Amino acid sequence: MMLPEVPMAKDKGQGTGDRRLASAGWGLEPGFSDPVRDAQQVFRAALTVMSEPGKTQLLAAGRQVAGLHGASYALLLALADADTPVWISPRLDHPALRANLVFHCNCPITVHRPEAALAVLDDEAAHDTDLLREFSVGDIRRPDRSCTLIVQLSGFTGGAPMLWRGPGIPLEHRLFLPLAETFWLAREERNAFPLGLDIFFTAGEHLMGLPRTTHTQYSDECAQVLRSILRKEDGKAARKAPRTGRRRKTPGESA
Amino acid sequence: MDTNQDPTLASSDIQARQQWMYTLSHADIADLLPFETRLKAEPYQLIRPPEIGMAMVRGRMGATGEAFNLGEMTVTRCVVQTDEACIGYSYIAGRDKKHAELAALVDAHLQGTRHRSWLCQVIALLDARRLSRQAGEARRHDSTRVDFFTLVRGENDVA
Repeated sequence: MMLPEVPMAKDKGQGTGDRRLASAGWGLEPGFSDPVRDAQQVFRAALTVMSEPGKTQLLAAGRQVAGLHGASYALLLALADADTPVWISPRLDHPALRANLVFHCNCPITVHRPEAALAVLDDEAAHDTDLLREFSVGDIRRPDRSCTLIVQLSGFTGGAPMLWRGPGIPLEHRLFLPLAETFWLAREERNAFPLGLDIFFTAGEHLMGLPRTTHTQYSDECAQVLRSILRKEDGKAARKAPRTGRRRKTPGESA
Repeated sequence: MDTNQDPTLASSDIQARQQWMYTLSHADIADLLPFETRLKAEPYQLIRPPEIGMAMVRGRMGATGEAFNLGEMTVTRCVVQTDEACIGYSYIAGRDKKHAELAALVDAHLQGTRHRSWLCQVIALLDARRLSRQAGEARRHDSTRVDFFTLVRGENDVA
């Protein structure tokens, strides 16, 4: 007796009685139109952005699925499989997205952040320090076991100027990613080479990479602005201080 | 794998679907082709376009021993979705992409509202063709059949 072992995808709707309802569920979307070529191209783009941080690549192969950008979806189709538990941030989590990922990648969807191999975050989740602290950075024997973050942004501009330096960057890159300081601090806190988080940024169909080896800091002009703000606040505080001092003194003087 | 965990599905439904999927995978592509225009009359989407791959065939010696890998076979699979949001699957031995697509379409239509008409017209016909084909083959084999039970081995007669 021989039993062919066919990898059947988890499917809904195998009934005859409640046939329509059973299979209606959440609509499935086609994956890559040419699975082999598209997956290879997306993988190539992912390698490129990771080896040249700050460079953008266009991922036209993915389609928008339930609020997930084309680039994020294409990246998941190419990288996720049965061995990579995927964590999805609550704002992006949608039954249709889960159904499609499970169908096309057969990947487990996890709610336990420490076991996630891939995590999809919106910009709100990317600023949640406690949340970022829970993703795995690998261990010293297997730093490659870290979690790869896919951070979905509205675009790659509009933030404070940052300077990126490190391997794969000829001198330095100045980037304006719309991310606040909490994100950069959380990343720095999690990065202790060789451990750390590798991050893909996606916006629409565009992809950018930020490996753990890249050093980021606010650029000089930004630092100047920050300094001037701090100075102003110091000045205000200094101006306030004597006044309050005087006020405090006043009763003593009058007495 | 938690494939059939949907509590709304009765085991008879699953058996019925297994039965028609068996019929479809064993059908001759020539018997399926006449239905092509009708199957494709309504718009549908290829969720997983027909693709050729390998599946490991496992076996047990004498059907009871430990499972072992016998070898790989070529399998073509396809998944379609009709306008009724029915999702049809097919796994076909061999490399016939057209067969896989048509079989998946039949599977999808069989889950739709016109289940009965598809069952009567397509599956009944394919079943009849398959049975007659199998009967013909059995007849052809029977003509050269040797019944080994009539042979007597002599080694025990010596003593």
